[in-house]
Amino acid sequence: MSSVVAGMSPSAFERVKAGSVPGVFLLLAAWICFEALQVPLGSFRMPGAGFFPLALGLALGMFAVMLLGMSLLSPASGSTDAWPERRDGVYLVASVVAAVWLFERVGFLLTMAMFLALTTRVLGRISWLTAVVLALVGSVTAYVVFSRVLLIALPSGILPF
Amino acid sequence: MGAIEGLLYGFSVCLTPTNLLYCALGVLLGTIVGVLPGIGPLGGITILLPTTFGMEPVSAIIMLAGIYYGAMYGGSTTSILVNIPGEAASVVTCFDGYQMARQGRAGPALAIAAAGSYIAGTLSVLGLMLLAPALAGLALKFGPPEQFSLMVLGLVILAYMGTGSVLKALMMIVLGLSVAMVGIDHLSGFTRFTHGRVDLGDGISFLAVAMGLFGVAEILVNVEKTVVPEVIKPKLSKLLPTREDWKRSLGPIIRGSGVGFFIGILPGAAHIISTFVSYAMEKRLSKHPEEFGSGRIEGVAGPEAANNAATGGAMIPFLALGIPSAPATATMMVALLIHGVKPGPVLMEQHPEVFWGLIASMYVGNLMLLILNLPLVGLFINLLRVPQHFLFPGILLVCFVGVYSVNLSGTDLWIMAISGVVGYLLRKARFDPAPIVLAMVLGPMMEQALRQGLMMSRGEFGIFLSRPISAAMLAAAVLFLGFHLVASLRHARARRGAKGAESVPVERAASL
Repeated sequence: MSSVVAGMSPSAFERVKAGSVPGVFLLLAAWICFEALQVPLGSFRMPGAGFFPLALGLALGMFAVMLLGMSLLSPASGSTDAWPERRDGVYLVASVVAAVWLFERVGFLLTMAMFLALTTRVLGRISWLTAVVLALVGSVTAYVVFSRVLLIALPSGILPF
Repeated sequence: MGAIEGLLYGFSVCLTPTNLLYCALGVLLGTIVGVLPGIGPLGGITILLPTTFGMEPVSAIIMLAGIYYGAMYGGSTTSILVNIPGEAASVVTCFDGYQMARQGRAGPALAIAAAGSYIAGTLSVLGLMLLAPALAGLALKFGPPEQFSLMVLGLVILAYMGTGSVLKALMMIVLGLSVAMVGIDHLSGFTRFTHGRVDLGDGISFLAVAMGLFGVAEILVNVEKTVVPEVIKPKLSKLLPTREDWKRSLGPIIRGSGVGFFIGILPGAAHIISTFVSYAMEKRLSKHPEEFGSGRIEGVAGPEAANNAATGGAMIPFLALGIPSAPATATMMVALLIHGVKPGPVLMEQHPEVFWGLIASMYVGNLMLLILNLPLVGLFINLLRVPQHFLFPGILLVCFVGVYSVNLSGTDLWIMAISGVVGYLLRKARFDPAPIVLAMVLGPMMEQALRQGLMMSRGEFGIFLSRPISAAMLAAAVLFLGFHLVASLRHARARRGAKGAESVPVERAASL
């Protein structure tokens, strides 16, 4: 994130970067206010469903403006931690999203076997064979413990059990 | 039921084989959670919460509380032997504990940490036993205005006592309150923020958000770290502290217990703050403050006592008022609510087995921890050798099962995944997401108290200021914010004075 956008001075770039986080919160506050206005606000005597959410949206907006002001005054206050060079986190998020999508469609056992194989392989840099064997052992063990011993209902998906 | 009578009843509940087993399981899991860096007590309680659904309410709360205070014990082990705090409340223990280990005195450091934690834990349970019933009696007089003002005060103190920027903490609180607004409004029947999705009608699952923020996000943060810990192996034959060690530790343990207990009652990161306060106090009282940081046993005894005593203090608002003051106790409250038990002033009358059983279990659990921790220290420390690429996928698998098992809902899994990414991004932007969890629990109560208060007064906000208890609490909240503002401005002025006109870039803004 060290590169500077063409035509923009480093300090201006830092300010834009620092202002991005409060900007996101400002948008979120606007959305909360908009949603709150979709239901009756009521009155002070009889507050409605939108009363408290609207107050929260306004409060969040006010705090976001304060943070924006401080970020523009001092980019350090709005700065973020450095992003990692290794992409393990990205692969992990992708694996979690894929597993969530497959969980009810394919079933617990197969989804978790694939998930464990992929994540142990990516995080541990171990061979595919080891990862697959460990994943099968891990998912079957988890299935027996959670589904058979603790009697937690888990989706069977395409498998008969 | 008097305190002694209640305690005896609590022991009769806690000492049944089932509850003893869950107590032992809780403290063991808590110790493991404390030993493993990256998974704090909150993450541990959240991840293991679904395993309690099939239990009796009293067994569930005994196990979850065991995880909470067990994590405090476990955290000290890695601080002393590896110089890596297992959880945030053990950071201070690293200062002198690790130095003691390097000098070949890991055994006494671990033993004093365990004994100090035991004494402090026991003293704090005594305090809890005496204070909670009195506070519950007072809370029965609270109407909606007092309840609302109490929650406002609690959330302001949470932001004030937090470990980072107050403004960012306030934003996290408002975000958590907003998330709690999703679903059907129980006073009017209107649905909010659902966009017609029926599965969001009951609101956003607390467990899914908490698992995302503290399970998935913690793992995403931790995969970036490639720390290979260097473990100092303690010689078990040299485990016992000397008479001199005991003499030097007793005062800090007693003082740390008092500091921890009373700070623990306050909302926020009390267990973390109490360790720093205890350490600073011991350093100030010592005749050799210059030796702190180079292996003084007082620097281990005081903070370790403080963080354990804080767990007892944190139980008071949650049990007596039904208003949790910390994210971990908020999660425990959700566990009780799932079981149909509502913590609060009438808990002692309606569910005495839960209240007194929990208190008695904390005595027993602290004793179990003392017995478990010292002989098994070698075993616990070996947990640090479990490779992350096995540990993290395993934790994620438990998160999947835990979230899905509550409502058998794929939507909850999506909420967990989204919360995980949001939690990771928030940490990157230096926001502490812990207040979100507490605010999610308080949100519906706070909204109801505000609306009922306004209905009572026919729309007059003055009701919150005309009733003495409510007014005092709101005044305290304003004072806390005022103190913070004044302190920040002074800090900024001092910085400006020190750096000169060129460095006006007010870094103090970061602390606002």
